[in-house]
Amino acid sequence: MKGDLLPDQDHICRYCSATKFTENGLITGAAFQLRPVDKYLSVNWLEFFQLADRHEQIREVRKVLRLKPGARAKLAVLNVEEIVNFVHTQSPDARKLRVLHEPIENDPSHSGIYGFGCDEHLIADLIAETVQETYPAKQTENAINETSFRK
Amino acid sequence: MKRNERSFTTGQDDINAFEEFHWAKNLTATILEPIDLLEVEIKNWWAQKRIDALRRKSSITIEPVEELATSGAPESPFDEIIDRLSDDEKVNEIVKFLNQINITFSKQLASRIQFLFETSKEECPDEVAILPESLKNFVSFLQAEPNLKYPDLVLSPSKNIRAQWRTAPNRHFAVEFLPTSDAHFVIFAPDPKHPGKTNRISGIVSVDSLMPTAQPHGVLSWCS
Repeated sequence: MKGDLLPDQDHICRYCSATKFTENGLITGAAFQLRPVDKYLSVNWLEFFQLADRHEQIREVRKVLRLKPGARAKLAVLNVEEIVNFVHTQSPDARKLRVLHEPIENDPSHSGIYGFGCDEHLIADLIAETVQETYPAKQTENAINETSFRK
Repeated sequence: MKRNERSFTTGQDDINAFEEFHWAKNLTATILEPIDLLEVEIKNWWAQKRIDALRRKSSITIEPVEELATSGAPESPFDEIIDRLSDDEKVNEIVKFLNQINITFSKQLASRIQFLFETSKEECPDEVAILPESLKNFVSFLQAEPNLKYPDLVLSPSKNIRAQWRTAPNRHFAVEFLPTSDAHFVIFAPDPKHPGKTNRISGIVSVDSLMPTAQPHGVLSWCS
C-alpha cells in the first residue's frame, strides 16, 4: 500500500546507467544521487512480485522500466535493512533513511528511498557501499547475474 | 530553431582556411586550456588573415601581428562560431585536446570521456551528454594536480563529471565538478587520532580550494 515502509528483510533494486559505474563495474554513489527534481530515490521492491527466484524478480523489473535501458546498464540489488542501518551508523548525523512503497501507474513495485536532505552526495556514496549484487538491466539471451564486491 | 541547430550557409572558405591553420599550429603549439585554446587560435588566425589582406592591398604600412590581434578590430565570424558550438561539440573538442597533449593518462582519460559521452547519448539522445564546463573544470584541476593517479570517472545525474579515487572503504575521495568552478566532494578517511575509525566529510568548495581542503585528511596518500 502506498506509503508503507518496506520490510527490513526485503530487497530493492535501482537502475544504474553505465555512466554511473567504474570501468571495473563497481557501482558508484552517482547511481544513488537525486536529480534536482526528485523528492526521493526511485527503486523497485523485489519481493512485491511474490516470486521466489531472484532472476524472476529481476525479469519483472525489466518489464516495468520506464526508460529504455542502455546496453551496459545494470540493476543493483540492495537489502532494505542494510541500507538503513549502514547509513544510520556511518553518516555523520546518524541519518535515518526510510524506504517506502510508492506504486505508480504500470509499475506497482515502484518504491522510494526518503531522507537524503543535506549531505546528499555522502549519503549516496554510503548507499553504494551496500550494493549486494548486480544484474544486466537489459534482457539478453544469456543475461546472467554478476556479483559486485566493493573494496 | 534551437541554438544548436543553426546552420551556416556562408563562410565555408573561412572555415576551411581556419582548419588548415589550426592543424598546422597544433603540431608545435603549447597547449592552454582546451576551449580557450580554440578561441586564441581563432583570434590569431583572424589577425593573420587580416594582415595578409593588408599586405595584398598596400605596401605602405604593416602593423606588428600582436598589435593587430589586439587592436580592437571587429569580432571575427569565428567568435560567433565558438558561441554556436553546441555543448556536445565543446565536449568533443576537449576530448580531441586530451588526445593531443602529452600528460600522464590523457589518452586513457579521453577514451573514458568518449565512452561516457556515447553512453549518455545512447540513453538520453535529446539531452546534453556531458556538461562541458564541468569537464573543463575537471581537466583544469588535473593539470593543476599532475601527481594525481588516474581516477574512476562517472557522470552525475546532472551530467557533471564525477571523479573518484578509492582504494578502500576508508580511503575514498569523490569529487563532482560543477559548471560553476565549484566542486562537491566526499571524503572517507582514517581518523588520525583513532585509526580504527573513519572520518566522513562532504562539502562544496571552489576547485582551487579543493586540494587545500582535502589534503589535511590525507587524500594524497591514496590519490597520488
